[in-house]
Amino acid sequence: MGSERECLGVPDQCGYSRELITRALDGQPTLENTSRVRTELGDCWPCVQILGVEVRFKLAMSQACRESAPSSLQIRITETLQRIVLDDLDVQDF
Amino acid sequence: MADQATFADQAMEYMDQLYSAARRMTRNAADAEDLVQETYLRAYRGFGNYQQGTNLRAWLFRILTNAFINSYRSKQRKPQSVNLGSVEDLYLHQRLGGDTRAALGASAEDVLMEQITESEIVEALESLPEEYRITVLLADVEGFAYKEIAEILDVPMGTVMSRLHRGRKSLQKRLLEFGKLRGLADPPDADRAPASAGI
Repeated sequence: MGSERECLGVPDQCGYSRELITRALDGQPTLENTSRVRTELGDCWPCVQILGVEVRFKLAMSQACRESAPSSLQIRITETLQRIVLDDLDVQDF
Repeated sequence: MADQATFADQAMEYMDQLYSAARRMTRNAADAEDLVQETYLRAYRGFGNYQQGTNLRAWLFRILTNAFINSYRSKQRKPQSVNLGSVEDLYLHQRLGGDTRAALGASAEDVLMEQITESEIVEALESLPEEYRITVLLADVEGFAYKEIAEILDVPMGTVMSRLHRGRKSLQKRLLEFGKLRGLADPPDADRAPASAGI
């Protein structure tokens, strides 16, 4: 039993295909980048499927894990920074 | 050199992103607020060292990450290296097989992705060991490039890649467990033999 799955479409390019998928996931996934990698993967359907799942997974992660800072925190930080600016002015200007 | 007077104008727009990341790092709202505040204070103090025109978002995330590691890791006293177990051969689509795939066509993973709730994704991410959690967070939630992550965490690219690979696979394994609970993926032992006509 092979421990590694093989590319059915382009068997000897499997390592290359994985590299392409890794590249597609570098940074924010864009339609342009994903399509380019999709084209380069050719008809290796397992790799194309992995690409699809990984990109979807990445998008789902980014959607699920975001939340806004509470407005009380924004106010607190703004006020703190203002206070520090004033303190610094006191020190520097005697 | 950056002018401290312009700090707020430039940096405040990143607060939601920093807060999201801080929430996932600390896993609670009160610590996340303190961490973000500490990040802004450190960033303000160090803003003179920031090179205007370079990546401010990455610079702020580097401060956030360092503040978390220095202040919170020491507080929490958790082991830093945790074995994620075997995740090497896990590919999400392969585990969604058998009858489920036959019934749903090629879109079994679509169904899984649609049914997994946002809170399950958050739970799965927060269950990862710290070094994996932060790396996956920076890559997949914040969309930083591998190279930027290496700079933010001050680790070699190879470390980023291996943490990402293992972290992602471990996350997907967790999500598959949620999928199994819904009968979407094969049972653990993949008893796929069709019911043979018993005599």
